[in-house]
Amino acid sequence: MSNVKLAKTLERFETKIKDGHYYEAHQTLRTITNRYVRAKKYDDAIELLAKGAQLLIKAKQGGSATDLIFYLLEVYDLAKIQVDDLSSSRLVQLLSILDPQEPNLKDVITGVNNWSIKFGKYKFGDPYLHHIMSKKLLQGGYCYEAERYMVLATKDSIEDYVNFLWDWYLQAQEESKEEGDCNIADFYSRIILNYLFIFNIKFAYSAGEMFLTKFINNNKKKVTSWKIKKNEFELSFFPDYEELNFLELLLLTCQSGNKALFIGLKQSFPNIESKYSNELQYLGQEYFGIKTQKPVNFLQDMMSGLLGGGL
Amino acid sequence: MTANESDFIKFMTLATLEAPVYPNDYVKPLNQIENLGVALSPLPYKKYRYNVNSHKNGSSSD
Repeated sequence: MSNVKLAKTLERFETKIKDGHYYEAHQTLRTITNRYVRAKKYDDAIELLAKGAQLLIKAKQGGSATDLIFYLLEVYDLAKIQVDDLSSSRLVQLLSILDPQEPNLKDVITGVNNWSIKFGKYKFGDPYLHHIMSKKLLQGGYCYEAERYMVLATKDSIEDYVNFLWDWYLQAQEESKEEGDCNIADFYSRIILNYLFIFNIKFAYSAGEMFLTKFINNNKKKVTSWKIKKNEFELSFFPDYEELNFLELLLLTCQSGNKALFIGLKQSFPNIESKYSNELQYLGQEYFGIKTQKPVNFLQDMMSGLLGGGL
Repeated sequence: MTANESDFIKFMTLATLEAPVYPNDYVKPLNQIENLGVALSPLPYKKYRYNVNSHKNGSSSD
């Protein structure tokens, strides 16, 4: 640390924390940070807040620590700090040691993501941060929020995503009263659909294959399947799991860009088509340019005609 | 060969007659993603319980 004054402040802060004077330490740090912010010494304020939050997390003072993280994000915003290795890693360090049971966890993560949207190049936030955030959210029990970030993360999250859905399938299977109560396709479909939605064919294949391999090799259940190869494509055929076959073919069809095939696929599996009607409608629009027909509003049309199309 | 299997093979054949528009390793860069698609419905099962072991070394319990 180059700034001696800052180092001394942190030293005093650390001593107060060691002595158990958490509230006093927190308030003092906030007061000193306010001074730095007013003087627009943002670098000093950031360093103080990041180190302070770190020490408070280690002292198991989650409430005070997250308060400092929120303040840190405020200073990032004021100072217009862009997403880069340094600014991100500071937050990653804090997130990685934060207790997953911390009540403010979800809000902290939303704050971090909002900052990365505002000052990064991704509309939905930074993929590297998503990887870390999804891990923490999963630990904290926020599985759907974690899933959203996993899908929009780096390739490092693929395995996490597969393990998460596979574990959930095993848990659901254990809890189901009868054989067949737990549908493997409910889990597999999330991988295929979520990645197809964002045109990530590569991850859909990687994650999909990892998941199906687990299913096939699962000792508790005998699964019959065999590989079918056409050109450079190889899919697993499941005689007893029609929905899995459908989802594999769906991925292949979206890749092909063949509109007639997509329509044919839906017609060949009418029951499954109705289960995934919204998802298929979206994919039809995005991959094949099939426009969805909006429901006709007769009253609006009539009024529009009377008023010369002004509505 | 079951009827389902022959349909499956027929479908695969048709889908792979020509080179795909999106190859197997296609990834649309995340900074070009404008829509996330349809929010999937919650699963009709009991809430997921975090499994420390399966996320420790990147391996899962089979």
